[in-house]
Amino acid sequence: MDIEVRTEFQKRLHEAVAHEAEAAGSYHRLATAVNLANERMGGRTIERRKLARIGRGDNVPLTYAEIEALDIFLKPKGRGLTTLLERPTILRSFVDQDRVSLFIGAKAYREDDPPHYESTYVSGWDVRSLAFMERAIGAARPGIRFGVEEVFLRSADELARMRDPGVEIAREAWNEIMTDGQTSAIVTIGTQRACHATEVCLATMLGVAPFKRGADPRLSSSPVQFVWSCDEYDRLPSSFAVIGQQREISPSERPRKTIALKVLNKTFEVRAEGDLMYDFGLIAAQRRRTGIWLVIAGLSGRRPTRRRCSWRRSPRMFLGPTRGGLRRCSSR
Amino acid sequence: MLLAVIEAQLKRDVNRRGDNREVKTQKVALVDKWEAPDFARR
Repeated sequence: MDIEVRTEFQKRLHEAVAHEAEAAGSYHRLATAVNLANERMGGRTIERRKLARIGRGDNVPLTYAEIEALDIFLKPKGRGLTTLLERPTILRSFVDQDRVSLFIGAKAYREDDPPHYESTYVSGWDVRSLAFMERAIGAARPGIRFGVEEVFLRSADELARMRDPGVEIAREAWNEIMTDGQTSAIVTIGTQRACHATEVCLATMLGVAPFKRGADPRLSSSPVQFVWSCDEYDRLPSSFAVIGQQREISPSERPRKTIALKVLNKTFEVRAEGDLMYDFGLIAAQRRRTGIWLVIAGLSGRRPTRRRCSWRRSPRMFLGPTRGGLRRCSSR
Repeated sequence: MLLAVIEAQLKRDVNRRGDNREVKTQKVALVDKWEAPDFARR
């Protein structure tokens, strides 16, 4: 008896072709689309019946030209053969993206700064994450373009004056990049307490309106919930925040603004045990029509290091894969 | 949508430097699908 062994690559190619055939409506239409995509690239073609066999998961012999034809068609859809051959990881999935926009929370210069000293404050941890992401994605896809967007944090007073923060914050320049339908990949760094882009990104991924508190401040049906203190809940409207009670803390500790993270009703509580602190971070990723969207959010918001950064409030700044604005940061 | 929670165990007095920390992945969950509903509508 023959036992058919299907490789991981075969399974992924089968899944990708079946998905595209469903989107196209039929294998005939898919074959037309593949051949059309290859028209200006040497005229490689692949036949409808062969696509249907791949879509069924059959073991199909492919010529080099057919492999290239499939790659040319699938690559702009984020499923090029490089992606299908590699072990799938979130960062490897960026190889088919042309551009990555990274969003970090920022604060404008403080009132106690000299008037001429206009600078932007960003968290040291966020800068570390930014540098790591740039390095890791750049290694996976050399030559990929990076854009860094500072998302200025609105104060509690500003937010309180807004009639609808979701609408007003959506008018900011950085939000246009998320909604222009052109950006390949979006990465937001920092919790929504520090970066409004995280709130917008999570809300879009989960299909809910951003900056909307739930009817019951202690309950939420969202698969992702941030359990905040009462003060923090009142300060910042969020569609993912609920009020929680933190356990008794010692007099030497300051009350925490974020108490826990709930993912699919499992609770991860920020806590101290002995000389250890248990802290958590959330990674949420989704493949969307315009590219990969990724949220990287810590919980506690500790800012042990603060970097003074010379970036001006330029609406957009695109960095090369190895050189760029990060070099201009210096520790204080 | 892919959801992962990262747990970090930090020494309380040295997390300022980020040293002596152990980080482990606590949970990885898939909510519905990795692809957004709009992914097929191209």
